[in-house]
Amino acid sequence: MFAKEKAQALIDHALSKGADFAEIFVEKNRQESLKIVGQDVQGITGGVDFGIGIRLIYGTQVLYGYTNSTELEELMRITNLIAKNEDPSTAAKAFGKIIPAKAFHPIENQLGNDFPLEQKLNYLKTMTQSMMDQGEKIVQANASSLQRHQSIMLFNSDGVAVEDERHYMRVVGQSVAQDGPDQTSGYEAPGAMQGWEFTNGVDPKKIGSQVAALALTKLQAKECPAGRMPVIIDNGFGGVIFHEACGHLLETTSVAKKASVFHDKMGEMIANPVVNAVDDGTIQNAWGSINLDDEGMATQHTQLIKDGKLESFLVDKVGAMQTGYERTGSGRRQSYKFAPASRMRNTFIEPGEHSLDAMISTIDKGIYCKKMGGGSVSPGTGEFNFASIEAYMVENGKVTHPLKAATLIGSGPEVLKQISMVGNNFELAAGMCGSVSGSIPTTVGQAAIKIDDILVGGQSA
Amino acid sequence: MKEIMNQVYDMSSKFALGGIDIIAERGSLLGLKSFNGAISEHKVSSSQIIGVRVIKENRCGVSYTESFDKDSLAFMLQQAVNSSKFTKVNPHEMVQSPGGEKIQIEANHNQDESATLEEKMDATIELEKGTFKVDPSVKNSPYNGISEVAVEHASFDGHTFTQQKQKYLSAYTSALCERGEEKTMFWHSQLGRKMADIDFQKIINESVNTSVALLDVKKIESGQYPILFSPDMLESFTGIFFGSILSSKSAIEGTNPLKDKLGQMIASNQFTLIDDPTFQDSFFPSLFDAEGFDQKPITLIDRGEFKEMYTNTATAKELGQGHNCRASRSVKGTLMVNGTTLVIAPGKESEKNLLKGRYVELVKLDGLHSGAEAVSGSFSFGASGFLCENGERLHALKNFTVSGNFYEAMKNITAMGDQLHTTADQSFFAPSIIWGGITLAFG
Repeated sequence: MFAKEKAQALIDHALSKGADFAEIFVEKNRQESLKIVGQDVQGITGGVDFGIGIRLIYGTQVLYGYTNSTELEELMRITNLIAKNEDPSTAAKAFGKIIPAKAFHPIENQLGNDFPLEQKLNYLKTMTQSMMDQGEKIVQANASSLQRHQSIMLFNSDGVAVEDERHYMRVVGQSVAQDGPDQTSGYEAPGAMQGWEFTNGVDPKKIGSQVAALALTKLQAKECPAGRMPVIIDNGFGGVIFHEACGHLLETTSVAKKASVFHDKMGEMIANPVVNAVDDGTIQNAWGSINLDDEGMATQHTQLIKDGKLESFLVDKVGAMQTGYERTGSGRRQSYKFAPASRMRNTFIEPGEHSLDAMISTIDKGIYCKKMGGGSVSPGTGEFNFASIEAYMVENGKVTHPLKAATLIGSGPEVLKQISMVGNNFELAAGMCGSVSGSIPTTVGQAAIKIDDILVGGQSA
Repeated sequence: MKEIMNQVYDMSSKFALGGIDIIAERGSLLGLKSFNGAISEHKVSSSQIIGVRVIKENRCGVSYTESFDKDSLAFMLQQAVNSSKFTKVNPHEMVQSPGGEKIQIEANHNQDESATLEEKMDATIELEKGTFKVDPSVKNSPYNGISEVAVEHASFDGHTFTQQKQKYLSAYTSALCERGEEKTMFWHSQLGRKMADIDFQKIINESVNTSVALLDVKKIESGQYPILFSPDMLESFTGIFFGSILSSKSAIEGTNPLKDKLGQMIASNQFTLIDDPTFQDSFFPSLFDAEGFDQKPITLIDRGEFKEMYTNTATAKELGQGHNCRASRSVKGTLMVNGTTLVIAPGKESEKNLLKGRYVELVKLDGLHSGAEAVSGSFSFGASGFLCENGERLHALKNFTVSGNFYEAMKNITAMGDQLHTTADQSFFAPSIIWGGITLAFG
């Protein structure tokens, strides 16, 4: 994809301009997206992204450039545009053989060399048919898949010369239900770091019936109460609460700028002692897993919180230089168009001991959020929000009726202390996370948790 | 770009296509960020991409590549043709265009930048430093920067060649303020054609003054209040739903909840919404759509009545009507529809009359991407703002939620001001609007 001799020449040139560190990230990204509406193929899109990113570091200052060209002349031009023209620093280490990343996440079927399109489209048509089979109130049935094969090469002035192959596969089911003037929708989007064989474990009929059932259930939903109350957040994508309320605040991207409320809390109790939290890039074939991070470091299992105490931040190269903490293999980026930054991988609260029923039984009046949507956080203040898309009223320890969607808001430090029970039904769920280095695949997860007191933004004040 | 598009067009002849349209883009970027009194990130780029949409036997296929060598271009074409074999037969979708050359390269939008890189770096650093000078409550300014963009977009279908070029520069800063246990963060940005157009002090003042004002926080009772959105929040809030209800593509696919409401009242009779591609103060005027057809203003909602959705030649044919020249297509995507500059027509109330009594002004909404469902219209967001009376801010409101149903809220507009305001990027224009039927919940 890119000759190491060219990389060596470019890095030598960057160091001759006084850079303390130079890195070249070469990326080829092939993707294919299929979309079915009803039983019709609505779209097949795909193509190839290719580019080269050049990162120079002077002290802790990051200079970044990128281009689609592989010509050394153009790469030198980009380097000259960002370089500072200071006295040459130490010489770059010479590259040895380019080392392929150890593949922790095996795949069977690589994009472009896997199944015929007919077979993939039939899988998605089975999903939409399953939605439509749930009754006449299902007025819209959509299914899509996104398959991606990213090849990268990374060279840096520390002598690192590595290459890696990443394979991503996601299927999305979405339905719309209608009853008179009321319309509601249901959505599921499982994903993995795998090829099309991922679908072997994802029953399209089950996904189809689940998203249709969700849309139909929401047609019956009553207005959600508003105000502070106890809330049970179920497993899987419920883990978005930890992702937003805490995960982003532990990235050195915000810690180094003191733009995180946790920047000075290392070693302190920041959560209820029942909380243990992890960011783990090693889970085999999980959506947020990696072999190497986008700075060439092997991924790892990082214990963030142990028994409520802050144990580690998520640290990339520049974050390590700025904060003094060890790198955690967390430097990630969407593509060659972004400099890497400290980002999450598979982030979750470890399971506890309680059954979901036991947790619900402790609530006199509150909400059970079975399915969560996305969210966001302001790291500087710790204020976060996330949306519940399937929720039920809990009264006298029993689930009673479905509720319309509502947003839950709070601050990270506050809510971590309000988690009083952790369940035993642990599950992971795929999502996309947007931040300074673009949009990347991340997994959230948890068993069900009970938050004793949080503000629910319902329609019924 | 014309040369590479001609090359692709020639290469496509062997596929016996019913039509092909080719889009090419190239651009350059300069990005600067500052922190701790120094430039913390300096980014430059040059990029290019080309994409095709092919029609073969009434089926459509698309593909793209960022690599312009002959093999990559051939692979792109082959992939698009292969994809087309599986897509739905759609006799309505063709490659249609008016013919000739359509060029939008206005001198005013392509001005040479006289500021040097050093001056831009100094301005970026000053964005951060400046926030601390405005108020002692500012404890940090973590996000500051300048981005300078030059983009060129061209398309060719063998019949019509279009080309658009423009340059612009944006600047932003943020202010993290603290007073006791209270913390607030607010950021502001501005767009200009060159650095001299940017009012850096205004960006700094807006960021700091709003952040400081939000420190003076008190709670009020949960319940329904008259709501006034800031222009930027109004664009973000309405944009979630307009994107769906104004799309004929969504209507055909069944995901436009108001698809059967054309000719019916869907909003207050004070509410008129116009899509105006050449609105005089718009930062992004548009002369023609992605199929090359000349664009004119269209009234989408007229005094509450739903009049029109955005259409391209394909969606209009499928709906059995004439198209209104709102085709859009990205290099990587299929033929879609999109608007240009949205203008909510001013009402009759003077600002003074409009802002009589108590209301809540919303200056920040959190969770816009996740807290709304366009299909049902229900929304629930985190928010920050101010309790106001007779046009004056009484105190800040923080950590509360804003909930309701957009389609109901459109009918519950109680007053519209007689002056137009705009967003930081001058892409949306609206008067002050007082909305009813929205619930605020405080902890």
